Amino acid sequence: MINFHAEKELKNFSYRVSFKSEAQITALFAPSGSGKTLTLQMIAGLQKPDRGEIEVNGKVLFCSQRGVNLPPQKRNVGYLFQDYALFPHMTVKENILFASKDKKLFTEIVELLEIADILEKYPEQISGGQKQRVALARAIMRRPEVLLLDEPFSALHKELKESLYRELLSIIKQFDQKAILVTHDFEEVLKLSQKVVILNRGKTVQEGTPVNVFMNPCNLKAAKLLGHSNFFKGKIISCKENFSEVMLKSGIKLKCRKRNDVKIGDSVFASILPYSLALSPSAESTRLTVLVKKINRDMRFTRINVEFEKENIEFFIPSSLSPNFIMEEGRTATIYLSADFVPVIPVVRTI
Amino acid sequence: MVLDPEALFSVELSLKVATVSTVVVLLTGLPLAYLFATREFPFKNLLDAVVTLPLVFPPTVTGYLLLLLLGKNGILGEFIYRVFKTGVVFTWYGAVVASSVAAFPIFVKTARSALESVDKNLIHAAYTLGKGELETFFRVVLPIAKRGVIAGLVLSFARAIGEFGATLMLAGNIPFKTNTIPIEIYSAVSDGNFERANLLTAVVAVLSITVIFTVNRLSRRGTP
Repeated sequence: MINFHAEKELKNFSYRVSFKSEAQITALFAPSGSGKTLTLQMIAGLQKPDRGEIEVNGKVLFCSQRGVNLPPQKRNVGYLFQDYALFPHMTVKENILFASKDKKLFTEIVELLEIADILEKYPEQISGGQKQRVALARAIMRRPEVLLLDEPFSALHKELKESLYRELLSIIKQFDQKAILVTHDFEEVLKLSQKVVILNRGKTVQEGTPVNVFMNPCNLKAAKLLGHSNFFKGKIISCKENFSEVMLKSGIKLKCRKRNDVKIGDSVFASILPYSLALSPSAESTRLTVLVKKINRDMRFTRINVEFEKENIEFFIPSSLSPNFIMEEGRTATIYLSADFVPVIPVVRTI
Repeated sequence: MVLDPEALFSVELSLKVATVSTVVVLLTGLPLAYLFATREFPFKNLLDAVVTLPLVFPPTVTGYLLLLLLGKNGILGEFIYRVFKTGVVFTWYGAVVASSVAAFPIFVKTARSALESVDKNLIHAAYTLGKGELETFFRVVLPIAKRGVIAGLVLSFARAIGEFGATLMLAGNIPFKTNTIPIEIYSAVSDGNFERANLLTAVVAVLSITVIFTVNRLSRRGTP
């Protein structure tokens, strides 16, 4: 259980972030320079907030009101640094045993992470993925209350990431470890975490379960951070059991994902996601006529750029399905959009 | 061509003085270099300037100031005389003080930049792994900055061996007491005894090359 609230005046913005989480893995999602790493440093005791309270599993690590500020050594927080921070003058084995001399745990972790064959090597002699495993092993050795992961996968290529995701998850499960993952890749959030907190310029924008947050962004800014890119303004005209209907200014009606916090008459943005194409018409799909601008086929996915309402939209479809869409560049085509993949975003008046 | 007893004494004395002052410089300079590298405190720049002074002052000026400070009537000299019943002026301790002061800024500057170049994340990593500042310093910071610190020591030793101006001011030129190699060479040349000067010069050359060579080998061992 993590209870975080901190304020700090910084050069470019004032940092004010609060969140609570009981999830096994909590993701902090934000563009760079939003205070993600700062948040981890505050939990680890490497940065001091001006005000606030930080509590992990019932232990108060920092509380400005009561004057509590435990040094990093007393917090028992595991920190996986973005550049791994392995000690260059120590072998892999020495690096791991630096954290704790527990031989039994050492053997267990080494086996689990499959690093037995590199124990006598120095950090500069091993690959990025191996460094990552060693840093993880070292951080886990103290059985920390919470494991802080600072963009651990950003420097690695895609195939390696996938296998490291699995390893990380198995370690976390095996040791029943709580973790906070900092990332700017929402794929990672969806794959690894049960809860996400979105930050922007030092403020909490939204929090919730990853799918829920992704499909129900609280405002346009959050939607953009999440990677939504095609927005069409309109008004909710009906709320059905499985979808709600949005009428655009041009009179076109879009069937959209149902959302509880909007009602008939509300101004909203309909966000057409790139993977919203449906295979065939159904009660929950919208039929649209669009102008096909460009088709990019590769072996697995085909990217189709179309013009709709004078805006450019990009769709992805598996290349194996593309014969189902009879499309040609420069011609109009009829497509079906699945309502569940067209989220609505409330228009929030900015104060 | 053999060294006469006086010249031999000067070689022994120089080695003794340089070794002791290198140790003094290490023990006093390393904490200061670490402080400079990691902390912000009031008058940091002023202290930095004071430490650097011996590097820019003419050695005779440094020596003269030390003489004023440590002489029987100096602020510090009077105190030392009262406590230890002996002074440092015109003794080999004087030579140690002069060499230490001359070598101090060289060591502090070199060690500081070596300590500063240690990645802060490594220090933070050690802290989050439960290690205190002292343990982190000896197990992480110092081993990583080792080469720079050793380089600082080599330069300090060399500076101490070569110290002339301040030593002459503070310790004087007393045969069998304070005649370090540079002073002995100076005396030999003033007496027109060039053979003696040449011999001592050769000794200095051999000494310097040996020290640098040994230390380079030492610092290379143990790291990949």
